[in-house]
Amino acid sequence: MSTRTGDAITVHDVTKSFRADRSLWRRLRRVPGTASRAVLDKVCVSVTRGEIFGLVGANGAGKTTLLKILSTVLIPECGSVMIDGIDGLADPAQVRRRLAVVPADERALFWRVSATENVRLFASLYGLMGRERDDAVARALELVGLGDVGRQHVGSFSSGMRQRTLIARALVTRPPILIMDEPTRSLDPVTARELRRFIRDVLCTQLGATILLATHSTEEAMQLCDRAALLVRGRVVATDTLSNLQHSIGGARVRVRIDAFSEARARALLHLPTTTTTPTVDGMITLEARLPDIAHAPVVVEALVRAGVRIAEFGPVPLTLADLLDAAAAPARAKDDEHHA
Amino acid sequence: MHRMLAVARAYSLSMFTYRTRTLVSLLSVLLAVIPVYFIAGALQPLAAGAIASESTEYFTYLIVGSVAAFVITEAVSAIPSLINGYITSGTLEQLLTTPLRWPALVGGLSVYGFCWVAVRALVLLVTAWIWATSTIAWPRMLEFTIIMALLGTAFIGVGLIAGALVLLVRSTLFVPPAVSTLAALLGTVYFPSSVLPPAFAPYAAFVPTTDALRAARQILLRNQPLSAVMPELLALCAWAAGGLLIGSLVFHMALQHARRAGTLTQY
Repeated sequence: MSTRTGDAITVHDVTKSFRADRSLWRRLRRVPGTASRAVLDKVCVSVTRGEIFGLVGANGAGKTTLLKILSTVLIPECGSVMIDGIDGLADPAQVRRRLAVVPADERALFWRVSATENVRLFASLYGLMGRERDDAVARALELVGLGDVGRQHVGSFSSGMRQRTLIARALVTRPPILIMDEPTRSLDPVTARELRRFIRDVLCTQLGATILLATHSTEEAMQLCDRAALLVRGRVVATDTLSNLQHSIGGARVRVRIDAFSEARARALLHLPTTTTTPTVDGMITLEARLPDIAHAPVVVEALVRAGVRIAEFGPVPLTLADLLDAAAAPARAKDDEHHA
Repeated sequence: MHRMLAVARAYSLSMFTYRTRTLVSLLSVLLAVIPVYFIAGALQPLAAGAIASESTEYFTYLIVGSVAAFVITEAVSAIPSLINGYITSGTLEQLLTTPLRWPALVGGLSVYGFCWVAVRALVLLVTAWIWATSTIAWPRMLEFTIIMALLGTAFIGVGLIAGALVLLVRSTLFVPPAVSTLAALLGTVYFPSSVLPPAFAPYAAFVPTTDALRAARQILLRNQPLSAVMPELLALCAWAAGGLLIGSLVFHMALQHARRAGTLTQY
């Protein structure tokens, strides 16, 4: 396996499966359906130093499993993991000194002690002691905007503040690599936007950290990630910048406003289901359709006009992550359908 | 060592916030002494002969036994209970992503529990000292503490095995209550082994509690030096070393298995 010089993380052919049913009783009784199911299948990912790399996928795609393998709490069946030039499977202790994890679950904090104590514990676990540790704790809390409430119990914090505490805890030793699992999952939109700005401006630009984050949020991936890997059912189906992924996988999405009488003809031409109808406003309806490429738009307009459809409006619609994931998962779904047929 | 102390500090600070629970626990220790005092008094004429080699008073005999029961219960139950809670909250997985090794984690999490056992034991002994007619050899407290520490170490192996079971199957499979009950019944916690039915009496020799309590009562209730209980002390050392070694091996293997099976956290 070759590792590029600029790579902070290299994952090669990592495969992981779990038992479908963990009930001891059912396993002992050999109940059918307790066999293993693959969660990651020959996953390959390279994260360049200093970039924000996204693991994008639907629930159950294997994002968190991959993060756990990188953070050494899970051992894969096969494949290799290099973190900052160190073999993560052969020398996990060294890897743990070079990365910090921001988990999705804020319950992982000690809720009945202060934010300062929570961060102080992690500073001590990474080997900081005495004055050096206390300064690092104060700096980390200040950085995430919790400097003045550090003495308060984490249990009295809002979700956003707890998330910031988790980040401060991870940042206290200024690790070169940060692993973040859905960092804005439990946050309101405004706090989530602030946190994303913080990740981009402070963690990445100011501190120069390499960030690997798992997300299924469109906004998060679009705003934060320099590049992303699309995970579908445990497989990486594509790795690129989000805009390139949108073009290469998602195609283009267009919105067209037409008179209601032409709905059936327009649906047929745009390959939309004819079993549903769209609500009419002032005698007009709006349809959305996916095209293989935006270059096809004039052809579609021409076909609609030729079919006698009166077009009031026609234009592109930004592709959502859901569209992208849907498009990426389509080949796998088709394969499954074929298999079942 | 400093990592273990850091875990101990964070966990202890967290536990200190449960003020009401702490107070209730202390009060319950005090209240529990009352029935023990009267029952022991009632049984004194019957028990006097059987316990003569270890204590002149059945009440103090029971109090020392109760201290040992505290130690055993903490040793076998605390680790699996904490591991279970930390798996559920994701804290275990989080702590294991840091350079913290599991012996420091388990050690750090156990410190508070054993300190709390020491406080409750002290309350029990002071209460007994106030009420009992026989004396307690306070100058022998250090030797008594060593014996109890060895007893705890011997049973921590069971706690580690129970913790390993939690890592593997999310259940202790009743190992801690079964072991602490057997250790109390066969190990002279509440009555001497001579009153056990003949079918069970020989097994008392294979329980570390028997050696620990024989030594502890000689030291604390008969004011004997540590050298007077050397055979029991050596046996206890062997139990402690064996228990810790086996428990550590099992826990280490279970942790490795959990890393492969993905059972370090609750999905």
